[in-house]
Amino acid sequence: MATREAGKKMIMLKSPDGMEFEVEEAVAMESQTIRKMIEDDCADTAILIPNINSKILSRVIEYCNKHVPTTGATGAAASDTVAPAALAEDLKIWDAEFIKVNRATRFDLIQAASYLNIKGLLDLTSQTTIDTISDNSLEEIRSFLSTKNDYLPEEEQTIRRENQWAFQ
Amino acid sequence: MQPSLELSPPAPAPREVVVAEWPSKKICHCLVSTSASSEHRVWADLPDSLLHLIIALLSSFHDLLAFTGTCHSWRAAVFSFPSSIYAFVFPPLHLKAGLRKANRDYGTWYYLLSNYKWRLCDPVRTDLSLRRLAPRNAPNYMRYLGCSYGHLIFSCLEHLLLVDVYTGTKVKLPKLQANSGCAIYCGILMAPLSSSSSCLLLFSKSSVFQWQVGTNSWTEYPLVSEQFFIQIVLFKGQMFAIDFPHTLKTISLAPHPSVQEVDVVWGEDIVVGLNYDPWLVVCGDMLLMVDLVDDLISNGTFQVFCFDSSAEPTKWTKMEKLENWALFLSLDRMSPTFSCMNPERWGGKSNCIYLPSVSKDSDEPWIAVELGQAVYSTSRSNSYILGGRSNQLESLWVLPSLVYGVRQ
Repeated sequence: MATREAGKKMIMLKSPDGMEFEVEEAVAMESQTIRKMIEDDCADTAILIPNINSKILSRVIEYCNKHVPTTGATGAAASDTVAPAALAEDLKIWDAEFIKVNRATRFDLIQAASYLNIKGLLDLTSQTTIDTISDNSLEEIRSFLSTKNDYLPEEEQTIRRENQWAFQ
Repeated sequence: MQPSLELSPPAPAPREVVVAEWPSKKICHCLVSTSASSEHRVWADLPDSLLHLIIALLSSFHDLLAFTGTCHSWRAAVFSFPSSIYAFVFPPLHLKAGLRKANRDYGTWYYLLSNYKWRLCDPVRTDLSLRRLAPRNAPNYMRYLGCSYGHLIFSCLEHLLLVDVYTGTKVKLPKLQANSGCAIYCGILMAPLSSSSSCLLLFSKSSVFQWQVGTNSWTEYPLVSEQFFIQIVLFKGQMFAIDFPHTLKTISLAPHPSVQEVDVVWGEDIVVGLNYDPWLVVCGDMLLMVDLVDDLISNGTFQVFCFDSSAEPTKWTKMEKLENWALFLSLDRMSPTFSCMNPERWGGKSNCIYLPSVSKDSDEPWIAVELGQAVYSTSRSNSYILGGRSNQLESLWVLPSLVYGVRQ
């Protein structure tokens, strides 16, 4: 569509705490939610993102900047042109660093990724969650997830019986 | 063993964004606030749609266990997911039953259950294993009739017993009419035992016996088949069976029980091995037949055929590659077969057939044979891929009942 071909069209993203982020339209369109709005000609210049504070929004934009496809796009984020395999490897390393955040931030990121419908970020945050629960004991998982143990004693016993062998 | 289901996880549910109502203003307040405020960070409160996205990335039974253990809402989310989806995502667990033939009667083998310990091992976490005692107080000698939805099926004359492989829980079934038990050679559950619509079918050469979950009697239907069924699978809501030599049948109970041969054409260049019984494997939306061809000198190789039901008449198409699938076969054809998509996710290998190995031959509990590779080459005399239905119940693949839903 016309706006995409322009390539450098900028979009203003606003967080509810009043911060404004000017990003390339292509970067913003990493979010399927925003893409749909743009494609429906709903967003001329600015979009308010009600649920995501500026701290998280800036991280999300950082992610999208890194992941916006290099083909057809220009600008700072896409300036480094590397072989695809190397680029994928580079992205993987970058992702691993990116997701090294505390649990509250990760929780916000997974919510934001879902909310803005950014598949790559959603996969990354989801997989990190699985890795966390897969490698830790039940207590550690619950503590990490700030999840209250809401099982009745007998249910808890059943779960212990089911799980014990696998989480020693 | 499961009816085919759509494989791809549901697409992320779009947020409540009402496009039509958006006025074209400078600032669009069109992203509707839907989630809890971020100060209140409770992972347990993640919406189901988001939890399902995470669940779709689980790659092993081990992960599933961890996930269900955390809290009520996560457990509920797991079990509200179309459960058979896991059947193609996780590798099955390896069950080393170690049951040895104990007593032979009327040409079939009976096992003395009470002496054994079972060992379950997840291929994803080979460092861990679960040991269970085989059920006590079972009738002394039992025959193995099959395994479905995480339950082993045993019989001893008119006594029937289901054993949950994972929990060791026994389910005693109503007695069969006297003498009818002897002729039964295999059994299959039509749905997970936790489902109220499930039923158990037992086959003899002249009848099929049906027990509906929750009832206390058996219904016998005449069902004459000239051959023993080697393997029975549920595929796209239909019961398929294979018998020797490599004949595909469908079995239906309604409106009246019947067995029908499926008219399948073989390609001219296809040669099937007639030394061994074939396996049927449900692999996503494909029905596969796995055949072992023996060159009678040193090597056996697997061949895989895909049932092409769109052709008229239907035909077997040879598959050179399994692409991104791995298959799991047990030596005993009464035990279930499994398939797993993208096995690399858990460290497995695509285009491979996983087989339990006999303990004598190897320290490894199973081997992975690439399609086209020779199965055994060193000790032909000791070849462990045996045909028939009288094998020892040494080891098999199984997905625990937990995968198929919550039990009461």
